[in-house]
Formats: sequence, structure tokens, C-alpha cells
Amino acid sequence: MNSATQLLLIVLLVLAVVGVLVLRRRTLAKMAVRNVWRKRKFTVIITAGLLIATAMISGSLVMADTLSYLIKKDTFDSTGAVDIVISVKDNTSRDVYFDQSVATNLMVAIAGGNANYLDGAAPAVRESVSVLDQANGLPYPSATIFGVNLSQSLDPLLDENGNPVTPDDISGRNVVINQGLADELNANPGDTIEIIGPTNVPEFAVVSHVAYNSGLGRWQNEKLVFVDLSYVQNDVMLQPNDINRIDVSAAGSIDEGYLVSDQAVTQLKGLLPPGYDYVFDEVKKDGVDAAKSTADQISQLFIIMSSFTIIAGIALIINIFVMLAEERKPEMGISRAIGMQRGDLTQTFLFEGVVYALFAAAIGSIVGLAIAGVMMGLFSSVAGGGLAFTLHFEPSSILVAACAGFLITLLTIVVASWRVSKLNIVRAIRDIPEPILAKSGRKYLVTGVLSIALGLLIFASGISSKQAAGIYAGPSLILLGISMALVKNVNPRWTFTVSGMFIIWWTLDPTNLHPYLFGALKSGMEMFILTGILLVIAGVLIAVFNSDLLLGGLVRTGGKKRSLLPVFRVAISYPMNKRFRTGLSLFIFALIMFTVTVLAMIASFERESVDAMTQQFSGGFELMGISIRDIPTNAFSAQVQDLTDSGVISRVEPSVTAPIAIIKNGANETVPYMLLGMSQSMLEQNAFSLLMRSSDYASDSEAWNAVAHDPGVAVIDGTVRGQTYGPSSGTLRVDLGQTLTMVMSDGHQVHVKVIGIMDQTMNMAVFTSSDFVKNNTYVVQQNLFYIATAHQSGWTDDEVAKELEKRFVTYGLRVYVSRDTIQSYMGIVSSTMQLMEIFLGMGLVVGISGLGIITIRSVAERRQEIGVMRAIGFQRRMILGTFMLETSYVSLLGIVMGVLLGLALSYRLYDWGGFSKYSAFVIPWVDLLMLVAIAFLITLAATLPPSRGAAKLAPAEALRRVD
Amino acid sequence: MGADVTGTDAIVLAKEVKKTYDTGKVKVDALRGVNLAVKEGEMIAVMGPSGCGKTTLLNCLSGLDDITGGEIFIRGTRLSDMDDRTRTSYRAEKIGFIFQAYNLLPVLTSAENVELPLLISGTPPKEARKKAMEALKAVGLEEWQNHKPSELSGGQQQRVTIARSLVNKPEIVFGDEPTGNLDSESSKEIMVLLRDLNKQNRQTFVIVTHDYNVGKLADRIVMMRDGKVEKDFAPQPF
Repeated sequence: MNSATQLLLIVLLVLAVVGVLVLRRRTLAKMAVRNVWRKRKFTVIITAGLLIATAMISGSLVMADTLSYLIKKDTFDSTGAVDIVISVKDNTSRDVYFDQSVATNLMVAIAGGNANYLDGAAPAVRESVSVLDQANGLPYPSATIFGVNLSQSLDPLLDENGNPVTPDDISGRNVVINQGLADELNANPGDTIEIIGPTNVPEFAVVSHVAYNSGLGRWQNEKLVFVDLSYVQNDVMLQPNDINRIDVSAAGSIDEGYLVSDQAVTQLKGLLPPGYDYVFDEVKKDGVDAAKSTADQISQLFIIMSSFTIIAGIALIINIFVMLAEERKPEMGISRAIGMQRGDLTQTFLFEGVVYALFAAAIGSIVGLAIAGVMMGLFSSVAGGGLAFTLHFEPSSILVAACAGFLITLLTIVVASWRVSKLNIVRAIRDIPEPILAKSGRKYLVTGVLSIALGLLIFASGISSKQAAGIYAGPSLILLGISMALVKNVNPRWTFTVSGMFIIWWTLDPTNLHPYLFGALKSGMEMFILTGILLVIAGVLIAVFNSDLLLGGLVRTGGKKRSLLPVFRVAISYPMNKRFRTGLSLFIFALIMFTVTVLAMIASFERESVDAMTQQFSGGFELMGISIRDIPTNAFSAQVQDLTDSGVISRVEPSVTAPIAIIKNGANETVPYMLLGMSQSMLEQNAFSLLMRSSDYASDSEAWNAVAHDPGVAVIDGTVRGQTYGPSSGTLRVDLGQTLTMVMSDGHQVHVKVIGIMDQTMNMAVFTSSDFVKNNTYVVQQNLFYIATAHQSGWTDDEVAKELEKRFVTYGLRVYVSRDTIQSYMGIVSSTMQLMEIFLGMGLVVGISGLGIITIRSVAERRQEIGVMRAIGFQRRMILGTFMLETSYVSLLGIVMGVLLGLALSYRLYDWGGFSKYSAFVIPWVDLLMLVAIAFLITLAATLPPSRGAAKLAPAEALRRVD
Repeated sequence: MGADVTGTDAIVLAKEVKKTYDTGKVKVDALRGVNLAVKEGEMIAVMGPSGCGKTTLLNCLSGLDDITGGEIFIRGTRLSDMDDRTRTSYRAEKIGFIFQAYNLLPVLTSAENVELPLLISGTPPKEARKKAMEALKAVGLEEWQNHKPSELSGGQQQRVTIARSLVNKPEIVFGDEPTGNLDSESSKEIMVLLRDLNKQNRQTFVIVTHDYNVGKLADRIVMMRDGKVEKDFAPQPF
């Protein structure tokens, strides 16, 4: 049973229970339904407030659906009918060629009906080549030549008009290139291109067509040159009758074959002749899996982040219901007086809540679609390249969102109803406010003691499991429990203020006490939410229990202008008289602003990191060139002599590489890796920064010096540590001081101790000296060049890179500009953060609608007081001012508190997240101020109409008693 | 039967005052031509059964509500000639109100409630607080200055309201059922207090009540019925 069905069943069960209750207490149900319709305007506002949770969940799921669909579609488009690609590897995991008869025999077997999980197979040659357009001289160093036999191909190769390409188009010197390559080369049909393959013999060919950009024409999104299979075998690779790939289609249509991919592989293993080490690449299934896992990650990320908004939404629901109850207090009191039980009141609210929750779930899931639409639109514009997308969603996602939203809303309503049904009948009838801290001392004591016990339990489990969540939450709960238990004995201001301050201190841990006390702790995304909630609760407690001090100050400052004094005094006295209501509003505003601030700060760190990271990740080399074929060092120097002489290039450091496999720690598994050897001189003055370094070395350069002279030590790239923020690549995890076992191409093993882990993650390799590489393996490739440019030459790094690619096109040299690579990587991370900000910014709607509702309610419940104020001389504009000031006070206090707490946590994240190494602590003031201004202005706009209504009330009208 | 509406020494003068409430569906004639003159320093009690228009008359006389017919003069100035702003300022400076209990602002302390009218009319805060304390002293509540209304008894709350209504030394004090929510003992205390203040300060009091024990403490009782003044007489001295 999937989650959608489970949730639906729970919802149906809940509705069935409610249905039975309705049948038993029809009068209550009737009252509830009439209450819903009594004030339609209010019903609309309540529904709007309640639909937030559903909308956020629905939005997250639909975004994930759309992305999953996009990736899946891309997989289907770029692999066509092919589900599995067979290749053969040697013992160093390098591709080798094998006899074409393997493919032919397989095709015969499939055609003979011997394999029910297989549809067909086709031989192919795919090899990296460099291509140069003769017409305009543009090079592309890492294209793929695709040798295809059109009569056997699983997918047709179509020309630009969608017509099948004929054998003539790709025979002899005719080739078809795909759209990707045509764009890189700026090539058109008729152009002559130069193809340089592994044999280094240039072949000249004429482009007959640019292939249709789908199916075979988009194979694996590579830049392709299609040629006749026998031409590749005989003329380019000089390997007649040999192939290096067999493309296989599993049974079923293009979008179904992957479902039986595993069975197809098992069948293939039985059909293929022995003697080769086959590798089965399940391209379609892997693509679909990747789509699923990306979608899962995205939906999880957005749902986790939107939990802030959902929590704020829950606070809003409670606020709405508490206010609804206050409004109906006299009638509830009368109901109780004439014999209704407390449970009856709870039930009436529950019935009413079910109606609202149903409305909210239905509308919320649709609103979520709109949110996803907006977000995907922004996403595609941020991702650039005009990524086309159509909103795609699975009906089950909408169902999950609607059901989950309904249950969250209803659960909150049940709790809120239970809370509001506890009323003093006489006070209710006479509409006298409940005294603050009305609960008996015993109740507080019991709640306090329970909280202490729960806190101790959470703390203990946190310590034993090394989970940060328990260690943060436990003591905070204990302190709150103590404050509650002492309510009747000690002034709550002191206990709750101390608790609040303790929670902030404990959560931010400015003295780094946690690592000292508990060692390294386990934590994940949930910590962001937990720290946010703890900090905001603490801030709200401090604000609410010390408001009179704050207010005294405000009244003194604000009331300096004499005419404003009465307005100020009244305006800020009200919020503090309704502490629960104000506390919830503060909580909502502060929580949302906190999240948005932290995200804005992380995005700022990412942006600020680019310079420092470029410097540290690139070791001071602006360019890094990797060639397909070896470039002798002297050949390289000779060909760039003029650039060196004219000061365009200031330094070239050639390095060697060798393919190796690393044995995973404690496993029988190996991971293909690269061994990279730098020259002695480069190592001695190496500027690549280290993320972690063995304590045996006092500095990074000392560690690099050790690598230069000690063959027993090495440094490894940063991917082995995983990533805290942003996508992580690589599956190998290595600890500092660990001894790596490397398997060389001839099978022998070499051990090195890891004395440093680099910051850079772009070049995944074990870094040693070039002597080490040459001494330990025969397969040494002279294919890596670190190049430093001189900026005063007038050449940009991009221009130098293009020029080098052109000069070394025969070697297939691809030149990467370090800054671009880092910038685009950091750009994606920081854009994602900004998108998240926008997504969460929508949560502000929760806070704003909350204050709007509170203002409407305040106007209603204070009618008489407004009358008195008008009677004793408050002008209309003073009444308006009172309400606006009151709203501004609550919203600004919440906003400022959220921003300050967000900045405080960001300051700690700056250290914890390792940002301090690359980035200055830059606060994006403009962004933040804009955010604050927008939030505040919209709040004012939302509360202006009810405040105006209050100002317009005729005094005699307002004074007339309504009850 | 009506008052002497020609008297030029009247501080409040109502001529043929009419007030109709139009709820859209029904029209209610709350006042059907009231004539009334209140002399300076006089204390009058407006009495009558529920729905006779007592409160409406008070609201109209004090400028809280608009009238639909007739004229009201305060110190010779026609109320309908004043705009909302002027009327509000006039209320702030010259008029005091005592409503039924619970008409204090619940979020302010006794002292803050009392000084509010002074602050509105621009009195410096220190002076305002001093006067508020004097007013609280006059009603015997100076000890309770820092308590909020919810911490006071009904009688105490009403005395705070009285202190508030008198703090800016208004010319006229309007009271709407000032003893409405009080027990008979507290009611008497409040009325005696009002009576004393009236005599000491020569302020004019217009008080709406349905309690004859309260009404009889006034100089004059105006009886209303069905939106009109039915009787106007001086009660037996107590």
C-alpha cells in the first residue's frame, strides 16, 4: 500500500468517526455548520489561513514531480530504445574492443526468440574524439564518434527535418553531427570537419546533416559525430571487425523496458560468450532511478524547509480558533450554563473545523499547484539556458498533500478546540477576560515536572546516541519545565527570561561547549528546524515576559511628541494584555523571518566564497587542461612559447595521471580513481589549500613538501568528505590518516597514508609526485596541465582557454577556467538558496494573514472601548493610529527578532559550515531590508482596512452594548 | 409637558430633538421631539423605563451621536454646526463621561486611565499624572493607582471612571447608568460622591438612571417615556 492510499484511508477513517459523532449529536453539527455560514467573510479568511499547510506540501510534491518528470523525459529522449549498454573492461577498468560477432550472435539469439526479456541489440563503436570545424576554425575537444550500422540500429537516426538519414549520408567521408556538436562548432551542413581519434590520425569529413535533437540524435546528451560503423572500424580506430559497445533494448516500449532491465541483464549473461569481463550499464533504469532520487531529495528538502511555514501555519490555526472561541465566549458560556458538556463544545468546534479543513485541503492542494508553477518558472530562469518545463504532477501527490494537510489542520483544530472549551461559565457569559496565568498552580507544577522528565529523557537519549537534536532540545525543555513548575513561587518574568536566555545560549553555543562536553555529534537538516524553533520560542518568551520594560522605553521615546503619547500608551498596552495571542503572532513572524534570514546569509556566504575558493581550489592556476591523448611536455611548451613570451601565460605545470582503483575501507569493493603526479617543484610551492591536514605538519605547504619527498604519503581531493551544503559527488569516503590501498593497472597494490584532504572537489584524484606515479605504474598519461595566466596581457581566461583548445585540438585538450567552474557551482547552490527564500517567503503570508485576522477580531471585541476612547476625546486618526501602531509593534518586533536570531545563527553557521575559510561575514543588508520592508508594508496594507473600520465607528454606535 | 427652552442661562439646550434609527429593515423613533434645558451647575437625572430613549438622549446631548431633527445647543453653540473633529476636541476638553462599569480601558492602570483625557488635550505628562492623582484622591482611590481595572471591584472601577470624567475639570459630566452594575450600597456611595463633587466644583451633571434611589439625589428628575419628556420635577430632598 503506498503512502497516498494509507493517508486516504486514515482520512476516511477520521471522516467516518466524525460522521458517527454527527449522527449522534445532530444539533451540535447543525450549530457548527450554521457557525461556518454565519460570517462568510471570516470563513474565507479562516480557510485561507488553514490552507497554508496543504499548499506548502502540495507545492513541494508537485515541484518534485515536475523535476522527476523532466529528468525521466530527458532519459527517455536521450537513450531512445536502448535500455542496457554492454562494454568490456580490462583489469584497470578501461574499455577494450571485442569481436563484433559477439553482437551478431546475440542479435541472432534474440531474433530466434530465445530471450523473452530482450527486444533487440545493435553493435556500436563510441570513442572520444576531438573535432575542428575547418570553415571557422572552432574546436571541440571532447566529442564522441558514434559508429552505427543504420540497418541494425535500435533507433532511427533522423535528419533535421525528421526524415531517416540514408546510409549514403554517413558513408565514405560523409558524417552526420548532432545539434549539441553543431552548436559548439557553429557548424552547418556542408562544413568540412577534422576528426582526431585515439590514433592521432586526422580524418576529414563533410557534414551531411545536423541530426534531429531526440533519440539517437541526442544519445546521452553527448556531442556526437555519426559515421558508418565499418568506416570507424577501418579508418578511424583501425580495428576492423571490432566494436566496444553493444546497445540492447529490453522487452517493452521505450518507457517500459527499464522495468525488466535486471531480468534482461541476467538473460544477457546467459547468452553472451565467456572470456570477456562484461559491464552492463543499465542506462535507462539508472536514469529513471536518478530521476526518482533527485525528485525525492528535492521534495524532502522543500518539505523540510516548508515545515517552518507549516509550523507557523499551525500557530495561525491555533490563533484563529482561540479568537473564534473568544468571540463566541458568551454564547459558549450560555450553552454551558444550560447544560452542554465541555466535550459538546469541543465537538461543535471539531465539526466546524472539519468543514474548514475539508475546504482548506481541497483549495490548498490547488494553491500548491500555483506555488509550484511560480517556483518552477523562477527555477528555469535561474537555471538559465531557458530550461523548458511543463508543470507535471502525479494525482497521488495532490492526494497526499490534501490528506496530509487535512490531518495536520484537523489535529491542530482538535487541540485548539479542547483548549478553548475550558472556560469559566460566569466569566464567559459576562465576557470578562480570563486572568493571565489562570491555571491553577498544581496544573503548572504537573506540566512543568512532566516537561522536566521528558527533557531529561530526550537529553539522555541524545547523549547516548550522539544526536545533536536531543542534546539541544533536552536541556531547553528542562529549563522550560522548571520555569513552569515555579510559576506560583517565583515571578515568571525571571524564570522565563532566564530560560529564554539559556535556550539561546545553549542553541548558539558561542563558547563551543557542546564539542567539549559531548564530542562530535550527528545532525542533519532537522537541526536547522530545531534550532530555529528553539531560538524563536526563546526570543518570544523573553519578549513577552519583558514587554513592559520595552514598552516603557517605547512610550517614553514615542510619546515625546505630546499628541502621540495617548496613542502610544494605548497601542502598545493591548498586545501585552493578550500575551498568548501576541506570543503566537510574534512566533509566526519571527520564525519565518528567521528562516529567510538564514537562507539569505548562506546564499551571501556562497556568493562571497567565489574569490577565495577560486584561489584556494585552483592552487593559483586560472586554467586546467585535460587532454584525451598524451601531450609531451616539450611539445606543449613549444606550442605555447609565443603566449609565454608575450606574457599571456605565466606558468605551465604539466602533471601525469594514471588510472587506479581504490579498495573501499573494510569492503571488497573497489572504486575507479585517478592517481595524479605533480612535479617536485610544483609540490614544493603548492598553493592548493587543504580542508584537513595531519597534525604532523604545521602548514599546508609542509604537507605538500612531504608528498614531494615521501612516497608513503599522499593527499586526496575534497569529495571524500562529502558536502554539508550543496550536492556531493563521489562515493568514496576517506578519513585523515587512513592508509589507502591502490590497485595499479597491472594489479599490484600500493599503500599510501592520507596526510591531507583538499578543499577542491573538481579534480577527483590521489595527489602524489610524478616520480611516484612513474615508479609505480606503466600506464602513465601525460595529459594534465595546470596553467597560470597573466591578467595584464589583455587576454581573458576564456580567450586563453579557447586558444589552447584550438592549438591542441589534435590531442583533444579541454581547458577549464577554474573561476567559471567554481562560480557556476556556487551559483547553482546560491540560486537554490534564493529560490528557497522565495518559497519560504510565501510563508510570510501566514504571518500577515494572521495579523490581519487579529486586527479584525480586535476591532470587533474592542468596539465599546473604541466608543469610550472616542467619547473621551480620541480623534478618528488617533484610533486609526492606535490600531496601526499596535499591528506595527507586533509585526516589527517579530520581524526584527527573527532577523536578529537568524543573523546570530548565521554567525555560528559561518564557522560550523566552514564558510569562514572562504568568505567574509557579509550581511546582505539591502536584501534583508527589502525583505523587512516588504513584509512590514504588506502587513500594514492587510491591517489598514479593519483599522479604518475601527476609526470610522460612530462613538454612540460603538458604545452600545452588543450582548 | 416640557422644560423651559427659552432660558438663556442653560448650558445644554435641546429643542424638539428627534432621533430615528434606521436599520434598513425597520425604523425606530428613539426620540420624538425632546425639549430640555440644563442650567449650569445643575444635576439632573434622566429616568424612565427601558427603551424610552434615555441613553439616546444622553448620546445626542453629549455629541456622541447625530440627531435626525431639532437642535442642540451647548453654551449657545449649535452642536450640528461642529464637525467631528471639533466635537471630539470639545468632548476632550469640556465634557466628562461616566459609563456603566467596565468602560475603563482594561490594559491601562487606574492612573493611566484617569490621565488619558489630559494627555489627549496636550497636558504635559508630569502635570497630567499629578492631576490624575488628585482626581483619584478625590474619589478615595489614590492607593490603587497602579492597579488595572480587572484588579478592582465594580465600585472602585466606577470611581476610577468618575475620576477620569472629572480630571480635566469638564463643564458638563454625562453619566449613563453610572451605578448600573453596582450593589445598592456602592450605588449610594457613588451618588453621594457625585453629589459632593457637583456641589464643590459647580459642574453640571446629566445622569441617566432607572433607579429612583439614585435619581432622587439629583436637583431635578426628567422622566421620559416613548422618546419624549413626560415629567420634569424636583425630587424630595433627602
